Amino acid sequence: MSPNSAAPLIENDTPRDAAAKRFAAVGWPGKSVEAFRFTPLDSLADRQILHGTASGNRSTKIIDNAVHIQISGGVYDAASSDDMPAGISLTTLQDDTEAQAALFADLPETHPVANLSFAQMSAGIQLSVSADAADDTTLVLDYADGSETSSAFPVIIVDMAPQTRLRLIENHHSAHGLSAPLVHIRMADKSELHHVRLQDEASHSDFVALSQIQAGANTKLNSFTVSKGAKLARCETHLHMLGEHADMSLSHIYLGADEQLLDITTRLNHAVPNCQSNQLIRGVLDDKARGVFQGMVRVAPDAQKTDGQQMSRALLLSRDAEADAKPELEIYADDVVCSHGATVGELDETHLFYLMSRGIPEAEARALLIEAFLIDGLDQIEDPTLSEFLTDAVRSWATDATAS
Amino acid sequence: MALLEIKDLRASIGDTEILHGINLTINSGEVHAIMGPNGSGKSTLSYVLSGRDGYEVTGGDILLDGESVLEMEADERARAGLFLAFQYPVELPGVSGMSFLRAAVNARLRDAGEEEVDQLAFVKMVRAEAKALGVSDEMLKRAVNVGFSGGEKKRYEILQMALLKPIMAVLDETDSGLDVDALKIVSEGVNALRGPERGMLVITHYQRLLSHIVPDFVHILAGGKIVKSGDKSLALEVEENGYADIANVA
Amino acid sequence: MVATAETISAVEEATGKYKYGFVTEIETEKAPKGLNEDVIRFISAKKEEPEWMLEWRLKAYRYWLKMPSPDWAKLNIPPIDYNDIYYYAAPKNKPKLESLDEVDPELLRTYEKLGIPLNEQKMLSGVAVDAVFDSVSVATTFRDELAKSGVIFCPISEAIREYPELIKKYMGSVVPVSDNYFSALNSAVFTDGSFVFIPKGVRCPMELSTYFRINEQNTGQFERTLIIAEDQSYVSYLEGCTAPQRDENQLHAAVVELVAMHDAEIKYSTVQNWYPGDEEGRGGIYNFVTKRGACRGDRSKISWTQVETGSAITWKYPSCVLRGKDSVGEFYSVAVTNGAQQADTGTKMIHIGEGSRSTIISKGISAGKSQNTYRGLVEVHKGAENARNFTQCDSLLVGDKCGAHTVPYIISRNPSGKVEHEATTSRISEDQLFYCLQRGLSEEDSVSLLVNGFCKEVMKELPMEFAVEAQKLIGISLEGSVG
Repeated sequence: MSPNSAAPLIENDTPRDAAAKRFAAVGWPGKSVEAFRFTPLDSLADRQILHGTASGNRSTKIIDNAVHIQISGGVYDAASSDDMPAGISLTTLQDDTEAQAALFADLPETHPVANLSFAQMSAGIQLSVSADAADDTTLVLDYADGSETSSAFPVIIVDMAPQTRLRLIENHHSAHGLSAPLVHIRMADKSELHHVRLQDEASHSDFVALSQIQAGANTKLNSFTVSKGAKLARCETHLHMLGEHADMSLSHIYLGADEQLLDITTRLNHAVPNCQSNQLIRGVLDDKARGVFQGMVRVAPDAQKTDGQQMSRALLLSRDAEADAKPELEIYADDVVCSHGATVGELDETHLFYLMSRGIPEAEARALLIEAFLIDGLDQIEDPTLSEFLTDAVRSWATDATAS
Repeated sequence: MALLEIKDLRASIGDTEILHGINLTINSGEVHAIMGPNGSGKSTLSYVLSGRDGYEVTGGDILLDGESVLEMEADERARAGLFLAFQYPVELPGVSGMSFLRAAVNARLRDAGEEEVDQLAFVKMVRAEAKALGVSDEMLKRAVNVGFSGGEKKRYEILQMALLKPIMAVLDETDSGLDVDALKIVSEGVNALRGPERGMLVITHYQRLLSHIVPDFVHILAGGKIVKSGDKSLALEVEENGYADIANVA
Repeated sequence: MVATAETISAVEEATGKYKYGFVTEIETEKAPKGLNEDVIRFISAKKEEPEWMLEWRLKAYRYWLKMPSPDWAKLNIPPIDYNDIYYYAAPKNKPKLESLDEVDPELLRTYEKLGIPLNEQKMLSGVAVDAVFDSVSVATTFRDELAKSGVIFCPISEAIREYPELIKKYMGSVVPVSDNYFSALNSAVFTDGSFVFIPKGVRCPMELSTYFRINEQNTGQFERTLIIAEDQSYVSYLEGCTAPQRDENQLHAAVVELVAMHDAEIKYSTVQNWYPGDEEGRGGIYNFVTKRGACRGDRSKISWTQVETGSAITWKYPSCVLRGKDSVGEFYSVAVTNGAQQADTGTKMIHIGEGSRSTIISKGISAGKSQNTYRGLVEVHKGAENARNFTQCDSLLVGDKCGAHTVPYIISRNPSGKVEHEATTSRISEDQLFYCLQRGLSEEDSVSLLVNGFCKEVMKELPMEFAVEAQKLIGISLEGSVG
């Protein structure tokens, strides 16, 4: 995987060959690459690439009436997965050259995760949601198992037909040395996606995810990620608004302790007029953890009437924690309302004092305030079932953090 | 003589015609009131008269002091003596009230070929007018309309009218958002500016303003047309019976 | 609508509005064109510099040769041929002037035309001026009066000869020679600039000001300014700059270093009005400047205020290193770009000292086809207990062909530090514009008024004598941006 091993592209290369060469040409980016300055990935070069195998176990159910899709050891385990309900089809990508070519065309050329995961593709599935699917369908992508020496490169395509509605849960709790999921979601006009993701990988894991969302006209996205596991985790999302009147909400919470490095990176591309995007980012960092938020909002020329809002807040609980932020606006249209805000600080002493003056012990008061800071963010999740799933994950972290 | 003549005025926003042929003549010294229900085109009329972008005149004419204003930009109409007191005066953050007022007064003077006022003389002039309207020195120091209450904003509009001495003043829903006391102060300010050389057009939804600023003529605007005209008693009729009856007559 | 088809055509038509575009006919002496060690030796010899200064320059030059030109800014910089530039150009005159009477009358007339009369009787009272013409300081006013209170205000080339100990101690201590590509270049070839020393306990009795003028063709200006404020002293310093209108691009790469000791305060204001080039982007100054202040003493304060309206390309980040306990850094900026101008400007606030505080207020206005970027860094070091930063970045777009960008970096390593950043992007609302028009103001005056209102928080930081001028400048810079 050294940069020098790159072979030249040739005409007969399959898209996956081409992606492998693109990756080999540059390797994992170090901090001299601007997009990775806070979270250099060159240390990942030491990770061996060794695909895992499915354990045959099915993960515990997290939500009633959900359709379970098991990714075990980095591979799709059909036997441990549910059958698809009416209107939803699951096909594998391994032999589908057409689907591969279509995905390849949409991948960013130089992104390490896009290229490596597509080239490696330990699992490859395409979920197609047609107009016949029930409005309240919930799909769970459950990523489990693996070991310190294994690596996983699941590639997931979600294709939503016009006017469809879907709830999608991504539950990451595997134990690979390296996980690099590539998720590509196409939202056709008037489709609506409620998406939550929990990153709770093993403490020895490196997790680098790239999600791309292409939103058509009049689409609605309500997405929320909680990132709290892994040793190094980068959750990167590229959201392209390609049709007018897309209404996008994309929010994140990161919860870091020990020596974790948690990175949230978003790139929002307002390519057309009349779309709105809203991002909320909350982070809490304890011990020697480091949190990174990079959020770019780009408004293309002529993307008038764009409304782009973003607010990131980080809370430092320890002397050795660090928060880095780089919110970014790149605006080429004048009739827009765009803003971002970023704050870093500790718990407000006056709030703490207020609680303590009411007789609440300090540790408990801290826990209450941290929880309030986080739970308030979770209000962004519209779907109550999905909200409950993440609220539990956040609560358990806050309790652990203040107990130690 | 006629200060403002509106002749068969038709106007649209985008593809929708809002004013369907309005006729109205205001002579010097007269105060006219236009009353009408919500959505009747009252605010559209004030914007069309003052030349706001986005309002297209599709027919008819507007003469100010005998000259058509249709080809004039909003600022040219203002300098020609047309003043609009806004229903919702907008805040201009950072723009000092005194520099704004002076720039407006001097623009008018410059156009008229008169000498501009210097800062000192201007401050004196403003203070005198401001006092009568209960506009405090503190308000004058602030940025235009920033942090003003609803009543303060309206008084500030009348102060501008007093300073700019228009020949034709259009007051758009000047009573909205005012309590009884503020209404009284504002009305007194307006009444003080009534005079034989000036015309006024008072646009309002309610009769209560008209018991303070008593009009010579009252017109009812409904569905983009003037459906009835009369004297001040017409306002009382509206008060009693509502707009529905009168609008139906048309 | 704020931007109409008329707007666009008006922008395209607007030319020749830069009123400082004239050229002074004066005989000059130049170094040979190009950059090499001999040219550096030539400059050093012209300045009658001691050997150590020459060595310093050569060291910087050797660094520079190995450095790549920075490419991280959101700027499209055409390749610069560093060997096609004159690095030294000076009006032919006696090298040392005893009084203003000996200054070439042509130069005095030039400055008069620029609104900077050097004749002390005619000057703005209470402002001392150092006038830098191409590569040399041609006059410094009120020196004697300043000397009475112990203040040194002189050309830096003179300071190198007269106060070598101060120069050795401070020059390069804030902006190291190898800090960046342009600072290394400047360190090798700087020709003049101002030196200010305010002794302990002295409040400088008047505003100090340097006025930079590039006159010669194919000539770069590389000035260097060093201001030292000892304990409990205060100084307010202002710089202004203009250049003739030419079709070629000219390079201006300056370095400014400020040092504030215990309880000292330096207020540094810039009104930058270099020739911006024409609407198509022909000509104009490349303004690549490194400005940094070191708050070394406890409770020291450095405040940068800049009004940037000129230059074809601006690359500039006046910064504060807040080392002293309870030290304060401020950055107030207005950057206006129109036509084909590009600006990438902002600040760095490095919090090292306990209780250090910083405020950043940045107002960017883009019009025409210009690109305007705020780029800033706020860094709270581990030991910076209770550090505070507040940042407000607002961008205003005038027309739909320009761009406004905001790129802040925040790094916080101390939990008691508090960093707040806010940024907004908008345009002048139609309601605001119509309100002004309805009061009889022309569209151009209305926009100028509203933009100045938008910049108010920054403008009020300028010394009174220059605020009015700066306000007018903003209006002029936006001429042709509305229909």
